Amino acid sequence: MNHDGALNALPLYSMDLLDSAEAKELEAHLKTCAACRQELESLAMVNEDLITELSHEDWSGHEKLHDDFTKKLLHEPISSPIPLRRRPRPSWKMGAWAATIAIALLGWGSAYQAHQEASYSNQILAMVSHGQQVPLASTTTGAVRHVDLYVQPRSNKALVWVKKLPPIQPNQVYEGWWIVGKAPVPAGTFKEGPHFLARPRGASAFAITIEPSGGTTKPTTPILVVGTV
Amino acid sequence: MRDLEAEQLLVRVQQNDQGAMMAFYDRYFGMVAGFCRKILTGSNASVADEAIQDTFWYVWKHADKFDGSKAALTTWLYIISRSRCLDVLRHEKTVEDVTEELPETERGADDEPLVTEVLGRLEQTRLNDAIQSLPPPQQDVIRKIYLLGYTAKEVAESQNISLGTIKTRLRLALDKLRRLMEEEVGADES
Repeated sequence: MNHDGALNALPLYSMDLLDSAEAKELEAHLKTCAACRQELESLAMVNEDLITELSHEDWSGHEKLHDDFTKKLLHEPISSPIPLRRRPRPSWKMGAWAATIAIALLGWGSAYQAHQEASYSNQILAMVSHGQQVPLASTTTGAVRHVDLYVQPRSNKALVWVKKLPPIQPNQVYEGWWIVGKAPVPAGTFKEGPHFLARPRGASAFAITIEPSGGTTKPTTPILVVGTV
Repeated sequence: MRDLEAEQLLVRVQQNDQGAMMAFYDRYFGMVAGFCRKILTGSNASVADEAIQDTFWYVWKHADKFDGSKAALTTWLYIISRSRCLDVLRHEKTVEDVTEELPETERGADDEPLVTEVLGRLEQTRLNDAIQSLPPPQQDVIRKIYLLGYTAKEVAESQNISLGTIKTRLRLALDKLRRLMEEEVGADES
C-alpha cells in the first residue's frame, strides 16, 4: 500500500471498518510511516469529538441495570486464566487498582454517589474478585462436589458458595464449621448459592456437613468437603 | 486522548476479572446509555436497556478485540453500541413488516426508512451544522459510514461509484470536520 492509499484508508481503519486484508497492508505501512501514524492519532481524536457530539451521558436507571448486570456476571461460569487460588497479597499498585474498583463498586461519579452502600451482589462480587479462594476438597473419592470459599486476610469476612453438593431434604441445611484449635465451631447454616460467614480468630480449616434445619452445635453427619484456611 | 486507566481495566476484563468489568460498566454506563437511548428514542425503554446491557456483555466476552493503537476506547464502545441499536431497530422493523404482511423487499430498500429515522435522531446535535456545511456527497458518506456503520464497499456499491472515490470523500469530509471543530474550539477559547 502506498502513502496516498494509506491516507485514504486511515479513516476507515480508525473506525474498524477496513477489511482484514487491507488492514494488514495498512498496518505494515504504518510501521514505516511516521506521518500516517500521526494522522491516525489525529483521526482518533476527531472520532472521539464526533462521538462526544453524538452522545450525551444518561445515568438514569444505572443502579438497577448495574445490579442486573452484576447478577448475570456472577452466574457466568469462569474459565479464568487468572489464578484464583491464594492470590498474592496486593502490592501498592494492586491496592490502587482495588481502590479504584472499590470506588466504582460503591459508586462512581456524581450521579450515583448517593448509592454508597454496595448491594448484596456487589459485596459478593468484591469478595470473589479480591478475596483469597480457599480450595475445598471432597472427602469422598469420585464425588462431584463444588463449593467455593473466599476469605479476606485482613477481616473476619468470608463467603461460602455452594454450587454442587449432595441434595438436602426440606428439613435439612448445609452447616459450615470452622476448625479452631482442634474443635469444630459452628460457622452458620446455608443452602445452595452464596452466603456470607464470619471467620473466628485462629480458624485453621473449614468443613461442611448436612444438619437438621436450624443447625447443631456439633457435626452429626460425615464431612462433605474440607479445606485448610 | 487515550484513557490508559480504562484500557488497563479492559486488560483485566480480558482475564475474566468480574470486578474490573463492573468498574468498566460504571465508568462508561452514562455514555453508552445516552447513545443507545438517543438512537432508540421511540422504542420501549426496556429495548434501549437491553441494547445497553448487550453492549457491555459484548465487552465482557470480547474485550480482547479492542486495539488501542487503532481506535480510542470510546470509539470502540460507540461502534459496539451502534451495532446493537441498529440490530434492535432492524428487528423491530422486520416485526412490523411481518405484522403488516408487506411484501419482502431488498435489504437496502428496507434500510432506507431506518437510515432516515436514525439520522434524524443523531443529528439533533451541534454536529448537524458541521455536517450540513459539507458538500452533499461528503455528507452522505459521513452519515452512512460514521453514523450508520456501513462499510465503504457497501456505500460504493449502493451508489455505483468506486471504492477509492468513497475513501477520498471520507478523508476530505473528515479533514473539513476536523478544521471546523478546531475553529469552534478556538472560538470558544478566545
